Amino acid sequence: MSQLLGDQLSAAIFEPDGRARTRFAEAMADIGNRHDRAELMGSYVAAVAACHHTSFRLLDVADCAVWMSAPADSFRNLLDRARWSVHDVRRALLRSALLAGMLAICLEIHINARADGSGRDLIALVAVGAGWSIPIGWAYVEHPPVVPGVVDVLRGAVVNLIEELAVEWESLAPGVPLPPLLSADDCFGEDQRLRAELAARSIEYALPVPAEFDEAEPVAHPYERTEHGRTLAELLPWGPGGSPLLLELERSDRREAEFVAPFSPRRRLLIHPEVDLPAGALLGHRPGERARDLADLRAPIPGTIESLRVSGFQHASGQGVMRHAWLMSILSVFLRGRLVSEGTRPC
Amino acid sequence: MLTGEPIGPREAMWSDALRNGSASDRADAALRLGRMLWGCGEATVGEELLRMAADGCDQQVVPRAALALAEALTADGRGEEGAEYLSRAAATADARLSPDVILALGSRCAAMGQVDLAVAVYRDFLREVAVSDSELAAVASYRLADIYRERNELEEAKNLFIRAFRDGSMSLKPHAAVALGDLMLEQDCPYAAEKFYRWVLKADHADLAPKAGYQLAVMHREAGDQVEAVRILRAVALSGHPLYGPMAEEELVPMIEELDVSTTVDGMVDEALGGGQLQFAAEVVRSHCAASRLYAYAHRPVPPHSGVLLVAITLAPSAIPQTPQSPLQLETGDPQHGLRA
Repeated sequence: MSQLLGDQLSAAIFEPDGRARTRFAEAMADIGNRHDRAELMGSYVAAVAACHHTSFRLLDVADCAVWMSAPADSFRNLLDRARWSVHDVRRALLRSALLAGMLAICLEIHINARADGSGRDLIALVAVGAGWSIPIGWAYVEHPPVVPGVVDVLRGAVVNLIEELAVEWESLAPGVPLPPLLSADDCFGEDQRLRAELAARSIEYALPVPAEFDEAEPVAHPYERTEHGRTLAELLPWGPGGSPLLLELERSDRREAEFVAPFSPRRRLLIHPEVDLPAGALLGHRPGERARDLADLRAPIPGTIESLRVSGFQHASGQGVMRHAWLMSILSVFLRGRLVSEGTRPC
Repeated sequence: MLTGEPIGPREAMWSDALRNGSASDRADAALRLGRMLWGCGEATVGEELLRMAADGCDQQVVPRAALALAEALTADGRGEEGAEYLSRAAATADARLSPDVILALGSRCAAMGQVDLAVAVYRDFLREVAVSDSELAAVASYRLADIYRERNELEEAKNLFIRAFRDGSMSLKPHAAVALGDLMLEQDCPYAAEKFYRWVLKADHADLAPKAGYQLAVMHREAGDQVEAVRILRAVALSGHPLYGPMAEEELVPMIEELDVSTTVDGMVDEALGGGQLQFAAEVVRSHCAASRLYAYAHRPVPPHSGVLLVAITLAPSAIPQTPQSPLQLETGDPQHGLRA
């Protein structure tokens, strides 16, 4: 994905006769957009592809697209006001991910903090499979410089994203549980309330935390050490070649079980498995076995926000940033040949 | 100070305390950082910090650091040096300031065969430990009770197990409950034993619940309550426990045969299907049905069972008899017909 935009993307979208751009516009029309609007989207993403800066503004895009006879105002309108359905775009992306056989959902965050502590953060949900990734959710969080409240705002954004995804998922794949949620960012794993919210929604997760994390109490044998407040590094030491162990954390209800697994010398994974057994059945070792599967899930963390250059886009409004992110997402899927039309049914 | 992955906020705080804190803060930070770094595989720095903490004079830190260092050195093959620090931990530990160290030393004594010394350690601990440390007192009670049980002093053991069950953490309670269940059973009190075993079943401990369930099922079977025994054995079999799971499955087969098989297994499957548990229903069919029973399902006209069979066959294709000698095959003609349907 890192090479997706830039030179390669420009080459793909600016074929001599403009076929790639035309096909993209047709795909957007298939998703449910009016043809003239779909063409404008095609022009927009072609212009973005032509911007070779790491960070760019709407004005830069307009400058690059003068020869397309689409004025800057129409691009601004496309991002700020024009009635095109983000919902349809998201649905198309999710359908494409389902058809491609997604393994997991990655949660990514780009924190863009100003000097005064305020921030404009971007959160992405990315479906990942064997060798591919498709963005399926975006959230833009602008927060004031009030440090204690930021975590709540971010958590709320993540929970909203998950809920929106769950509703869409249920309509596309009824009865199938959501794939597990993974992340490379410690901030999600350290948020106990976020983990509780995910577990309450029966969503499996494997989130990394620093090895210094000391807010976990393991399920202990009566002859094991009894000291409270030990770090995960002490509870699950990192040995030569890693550690094959898995540690269950103490919970009042085992259906909310959480496990710790090794991740790297300085980080551990907090894992919540879901085991589908009828009421009254004993869980036994099944949660541990499932947690081990989740720990072994070597899904790539794609780095979508950076590779799509969404974090480098300067726009006055959050909606503009989000719409830009959605257009870049669907373009990346289109260029990889993974975009499916409305009529295609997920397996 | 450290290389590699980024430093987290706690580590930064401890590093800062190590540089700028008071003597007490420095000792505490050295202990925490040392143990953490040892766990991260940075043994040299970890050992250095633990030595710094163990050689200090903070009453809460020294015994913990000495014990951590003793364990680390022993694990590293430096047993003699480890023993020195173990002695230091024993000399400086206090039931109120470092109760966890006293407990660790007590279990060491018991493991090394110095049982009388271990009893003395636990007894002193229970006398001196603060009321606020009731969970630790429960651990001491459990360990002491275990020793009394081995010595066949059952009444003393029972009282201590009850204390452990009452005050223990969610980790300890199931152990105490199983011990109490076993004791009650030995003392011919099956009703009391059942109460404790059922508590463990409800707690759903990964290892102890299947064990308690198996014991309970045997009790019910011996009391003539086959249906309840089958119900509990089914739960144990589905737990996937490496020891009690197969044992429960082995017990289940003849018991189901003795019962009205069609009623029991059909009931299980229907219940599972009603709850949308297709996979579980398939497991029931696979676990509890002989090959001939699979055929009976195959030829039942009820639609949901064809779905169950498809999953069951996927899970255990070998369970389907292929030989023409099968009596059901003779009765029903082509055995594959029903399965395909």
